[in-house]
Amino acid sequence: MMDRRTLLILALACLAAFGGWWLQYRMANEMPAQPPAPAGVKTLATGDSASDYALPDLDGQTTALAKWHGKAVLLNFWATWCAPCREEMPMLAKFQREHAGDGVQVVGIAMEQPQSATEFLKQVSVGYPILIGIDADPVPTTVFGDTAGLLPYSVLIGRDGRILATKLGPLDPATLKGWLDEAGQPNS
Amino acid sequence: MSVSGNPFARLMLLASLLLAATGAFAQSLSPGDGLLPVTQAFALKPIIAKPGTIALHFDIAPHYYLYRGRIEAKILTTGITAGRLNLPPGKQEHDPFLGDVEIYHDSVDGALPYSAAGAMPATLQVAVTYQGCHEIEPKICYPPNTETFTLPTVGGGPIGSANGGASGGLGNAIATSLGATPAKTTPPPTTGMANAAVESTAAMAPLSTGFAFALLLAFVGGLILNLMPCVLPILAVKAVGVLESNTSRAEARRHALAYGAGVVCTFLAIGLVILGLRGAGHAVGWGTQLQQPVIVAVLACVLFAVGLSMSGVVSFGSRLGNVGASLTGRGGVAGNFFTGVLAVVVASPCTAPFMGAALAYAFIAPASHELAVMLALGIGLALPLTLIGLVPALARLLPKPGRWMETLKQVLAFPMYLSAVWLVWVLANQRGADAAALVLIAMVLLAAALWWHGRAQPGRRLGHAFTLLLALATLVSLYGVARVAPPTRAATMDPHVVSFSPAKLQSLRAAGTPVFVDIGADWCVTCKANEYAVLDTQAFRSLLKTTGAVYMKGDWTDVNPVIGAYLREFHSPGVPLYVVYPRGQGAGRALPTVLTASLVRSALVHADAEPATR
Repeated sequence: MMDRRTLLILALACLAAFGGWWLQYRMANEMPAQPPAPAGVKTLATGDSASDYALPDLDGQTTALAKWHGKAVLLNFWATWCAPCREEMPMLAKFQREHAGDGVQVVGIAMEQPQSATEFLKQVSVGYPILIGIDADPVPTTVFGDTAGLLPYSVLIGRDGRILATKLGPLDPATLKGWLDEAGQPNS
Repeated sequence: MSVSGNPFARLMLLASLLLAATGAFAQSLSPGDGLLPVTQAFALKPIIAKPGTIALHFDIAPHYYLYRGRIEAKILTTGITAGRLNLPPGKQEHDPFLGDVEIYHDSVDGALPYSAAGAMPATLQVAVTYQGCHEIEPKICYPPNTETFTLPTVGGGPIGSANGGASGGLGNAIATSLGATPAKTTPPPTTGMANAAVESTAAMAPLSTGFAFALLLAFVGGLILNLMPCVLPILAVKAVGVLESNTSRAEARRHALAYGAGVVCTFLAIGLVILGLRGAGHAVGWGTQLQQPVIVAVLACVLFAVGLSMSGVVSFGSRLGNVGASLTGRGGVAGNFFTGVLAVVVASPCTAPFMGAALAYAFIAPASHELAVMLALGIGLALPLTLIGLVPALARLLPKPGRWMETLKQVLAFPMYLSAVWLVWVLANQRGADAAALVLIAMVLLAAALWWHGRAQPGRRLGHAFTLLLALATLVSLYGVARVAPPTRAATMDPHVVSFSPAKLQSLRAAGTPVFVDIGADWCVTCKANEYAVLDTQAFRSLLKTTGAVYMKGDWTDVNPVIGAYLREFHSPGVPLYVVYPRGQGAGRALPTVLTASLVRSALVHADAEPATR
């Protein structure tokens, strides 16, 4: 019925069609949709200064990001109910230890109550400062451009206090390396 | 005679390949694109199916999961006490921090018992909080989301018994959801989109009464599908098929049955694909495969190639004039079978009257019923031509075969070319001039491949290698179509048209404005016909002015989860969907898919007249 040539053409066509679909699927998946921020909430975009932004720490002390002025600050939004967040935190802790000398500061922002955050941090000691974002109004994730509140979400703030980059989803070593280059060396 | 030597059979093979690809592509027309808004990743539908229990149904999109331990439901109405929320056991997972957790994929049904201290109020409010994550890249978790719903409590007998019929079941089951959190990603269904929440539980009520009726609708819809404007190319293919089978009685019967089998098998295959996708939690519509640019491009190439072979421009060894005589034995049967397959493939962008209701039923019905509806559709579409082949008395009504057959076949090639032009236009709208150029290049290369294949001497390896090269180049061009990014669409210039958004619709309705919602797509011929005949006329614009209605237009040419969700609310299997919302708070009414000026006028005048009762 069907000779080998026909079969080959069919197989190739199937392969090409599948390849095209896969490509489309991948490309579409790389663009997560964020809804617009609610009316009246001022959000910070890349290039905006975040120095004045302040949140309470685990002890309730209000801490402004200006505290780390001159350092490259990596804000990492997380919560204990977010498995991918918890998975990346040891890597961030390691990153902090290795690059403390490069003027890098990782700051975790817990989108949950201080009690359960403290409970988790007892088990997984990260060593970098943690701020509490759950009760802040407007919602900190929204302010930094993650209007849907999806976690994990990370923001890179340059040494001048301006936002350099954001990433939705887990960080990977390659992105961290790129961010390190982007932030540049501290002014000595 | 081998299939490869038969021009029709070869092209039909291409068609079947297209169908196979449709299955794969259908995956991405569902919520897989990007991260979904939380209410679509975890679509929650609460309903009071029987008094005393709120049934909570979550439809969980593929690759998303919900945590069992993080689902909570609270009744906000005073005087109502809620019992313990019953949830089925989930899939056990070990979490290093949370310990053993249970998660749900696909769907989950919970039950919240409640009782009233005094008299049962007419409605009650329930707040449901849930939290879940996306488990493939990008791995993310959604923050806990709370949705608040107002549900009518049903006293007395079981739901639907009051009115007895199917509409009673739907009508009583209206669930209204009110926005709970201000930062909500998509506004939940409002009063106007009434039967949004009935899909899972209440829709089962009308099934028993509706099955036979749905079969009848499907059959009639399939018959009418033969006559729809978008099926013009199939009529051409089929006419040629009938003429070719007009040789001997036995031959004609065999060909007719093969064609019928092709149509029916394809419908069943589509039915199975839909079942598979549904099982995986995808939403599937009719004609949505044309949202994929590659499918559009391949279909354009197939139609162009069929046209070429009908014109006699390309031949495959045997001269096309003799094809009718040489289509004997299995080759001819296969050719007719794939004519049937192609008929369905080409018909897929089109929805005939009656068919929409049948498909809407099929898409939520149990598997066996869904397949039965698909079968009825296939039988309806195949019947006229199969009957002509089977019943000699009918066949005698056709003119005698002769030279005119060749002429007719060549004439019918032109609708094929026009159909291909239409698809190129659709693609140009979807992906811009680059994609249109690529598909045109693919068509030229395909023509070259077919031409060379016809010239090549059998046994000459080099000649065949060149054919293969050209075929490969065609595929590369088609692959290129997949890579073209969608162009940024210019904002609608027409001041009379508002582009569709659920939020805008809600605010217009809140302001007491009647709204005419039109969801269409460039690949939907019925939509275009309606636009030409009714919606794009001066009469319609002045009608909008006199009734004060806003014309809101949604475009489903490309994949769009928001519009997909809206279509599902109205149980619409595809486009077009026309919904008229009255000035008051009454529910939106869906209009038939084929519009007439008088029908639209009466719907809008009616919508304008309905008082704004609060």
